[in-house]
Amino acid sequence: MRMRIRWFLSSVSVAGIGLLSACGEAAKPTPGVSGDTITIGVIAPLSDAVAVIGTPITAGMQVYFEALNARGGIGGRYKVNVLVEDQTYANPSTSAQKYQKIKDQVALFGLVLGTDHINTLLPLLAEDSVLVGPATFDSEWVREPFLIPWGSTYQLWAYNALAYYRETAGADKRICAMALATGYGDAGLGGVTMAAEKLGFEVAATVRFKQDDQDFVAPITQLRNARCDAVLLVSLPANTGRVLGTAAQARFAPQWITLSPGWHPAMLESPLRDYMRARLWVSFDGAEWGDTTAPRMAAAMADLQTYRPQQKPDLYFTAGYTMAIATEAVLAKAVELGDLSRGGIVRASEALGAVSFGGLIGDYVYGPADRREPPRATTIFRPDPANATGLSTIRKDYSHPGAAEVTFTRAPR
Amino acid sequence: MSDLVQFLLAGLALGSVYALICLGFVVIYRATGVINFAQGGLVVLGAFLTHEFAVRQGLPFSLAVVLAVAAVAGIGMALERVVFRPMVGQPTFAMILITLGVLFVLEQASAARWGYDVLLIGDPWGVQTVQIGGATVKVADLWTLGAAGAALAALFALFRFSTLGIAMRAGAADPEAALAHGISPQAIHGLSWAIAGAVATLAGVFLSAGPKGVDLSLSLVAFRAFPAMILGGLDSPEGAVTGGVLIGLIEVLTAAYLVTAVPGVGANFHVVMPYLVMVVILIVRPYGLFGREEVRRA
Repeated sequence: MRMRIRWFLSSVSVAGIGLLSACGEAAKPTPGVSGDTITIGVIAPLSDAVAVIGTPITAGMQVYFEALNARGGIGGRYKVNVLVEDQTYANPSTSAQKYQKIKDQVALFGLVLGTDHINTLLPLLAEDSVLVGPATFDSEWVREPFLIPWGSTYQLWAYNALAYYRETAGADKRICAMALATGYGDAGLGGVTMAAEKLGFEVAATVRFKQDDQDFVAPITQLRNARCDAVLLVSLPANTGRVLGTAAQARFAPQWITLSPGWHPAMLESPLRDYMRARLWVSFDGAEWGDTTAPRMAAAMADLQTYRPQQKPDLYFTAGYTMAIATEAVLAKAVELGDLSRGGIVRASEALGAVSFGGLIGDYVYGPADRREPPRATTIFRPDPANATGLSTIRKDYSHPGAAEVTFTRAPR
Repeated sequence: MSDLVQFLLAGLALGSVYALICLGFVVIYRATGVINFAQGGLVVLGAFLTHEFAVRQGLPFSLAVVLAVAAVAGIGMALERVVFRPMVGQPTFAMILITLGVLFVLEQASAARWGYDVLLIGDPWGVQTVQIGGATVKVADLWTLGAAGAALAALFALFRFSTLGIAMRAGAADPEAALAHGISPQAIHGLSWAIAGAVATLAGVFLSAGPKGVDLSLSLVAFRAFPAMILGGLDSPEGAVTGGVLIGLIEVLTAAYLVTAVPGVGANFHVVMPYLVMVVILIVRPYGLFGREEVRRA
């Protein structure tokens, strides 16, 4: 009899614990989803030298969701609240701190800026099953399951730009590289290496530099002595001015090719304006500011006028706006599938399929991380004071045949 | 050969800017015993103020520099009066932490006023160059060398020959004896901060000259000048100059030759080299090349 009572009590206890667990699971609210509002996170540099990128890119995302909310929100049901945190670009651990601070208040992160910052966060994302939109274009993001990559990649920007240069200037030109000593710099150099292998040339010289370097005479002399005809420059705006200034003063005038994070329109006000107009290309994925042949550009311009009329023309504004399209697509799919839990949002990202960015950038085929297909084309720009963002198109949507053969792999962890 | 001339001039120009920054560190250290981590904030503030006066207000560049130097010297004195003087007698560690706080305040106050873009300071040199010994040399570098040399010479004359300078040296050597002779420590501290602000502004102007421009990242340069201060000796103005010039030359020549000759050391070894020199100096001569060796009774 005593045995039967004990068995009965144990059974009731086990069942009770199970029931409580189930209730707890069911009642556990999805972080960032409350009533008819979905909160998404943004971690970007807003108070350091890279705020020149962080501020407009954040504004682009905010404007997109303000306009979307006015149209009824995601799936016509959910308004989006954007929760913004400041990070320090030179210190990737600040993103980890801010991530921990707000991760339980957001459904996903629409934007985190910086290659090294994303690398710092990757292990945390897997632990927490949280999706992040990277405001960086490393090829490694393509196969990361907890990222929502968008656009082409730094490697392809460099590859296509160098292929286009050799196609137009001649295959005998000597190619060099100069890159920041960061993950972003590594990614750009990855494109140079890829181009050298696929197009069959030797990189004549490669130099690296630090973000706070003040003097570039020595590295510029190395490039000049290597008789470089073209230099792929992986930099941020503050570096670009200093590097090109030293080059101009050393009367070294190769074809400089920088990736979009290296450009800022304020450079056209410097004494380097003529040098840059003659010697600089900027390579990235997308349409020129105000190019309304891209269907979503017209919407972006209209939303800008309505919600941020004081915003100056800025490529990073359209970048943030474009990222928001990807974020909306994921959340809309999760709403459609009826599961706004963290796991449900990740599954929605895998069920997305092709997402059109309306010509702002190339379309992206999403799906499980191992089957994602990014756009392969690149647009080459040149500095042009007559254009609002200081850039005009040399060649739109250029894709060297070798770019189609590039395979993407997940970095070992 | 022409490359070497170019590297030497570039190294000297960079080194003279480091020397100005180091001198700011040294005058405050001698007067107060505190390493001023806010020095980088004064550098960036000085450059932004030059932009303000020369570009936004449209004043002649030389006048803009004079006004910026005066303004940052005044701000330095105000910081000493409002922030640091009430802390006299508190542990040195607390004072150092406050200098870090002041650095963040100066940076963010500058950002609030001038934003995060790279701003030009309106200097007249642009991308002008001249040929010296077959080398192409930046006119801005020549002005850096000349102006920094003149500023440093003026400061040495002040320290050595003026009553004020003698008072500063007396206050640094023996504060109690100086006080007994009527030398006000507060006045010496205030003057030290003013000098630190003035030389930081000159450093900021020359680091931002030409197409380089100024943005917030410029404040990091103070940390690059740090090894120069250790190399020369924390309490020695002569050491600040020697250390600054040596570190500038070491940095440029390492980038020019060592990184190429020995690729295995890494592409950014020029950044490591000054700190390596600093560590070696600390091991063999902890008080630096010109610093005073403190003697304590056992």
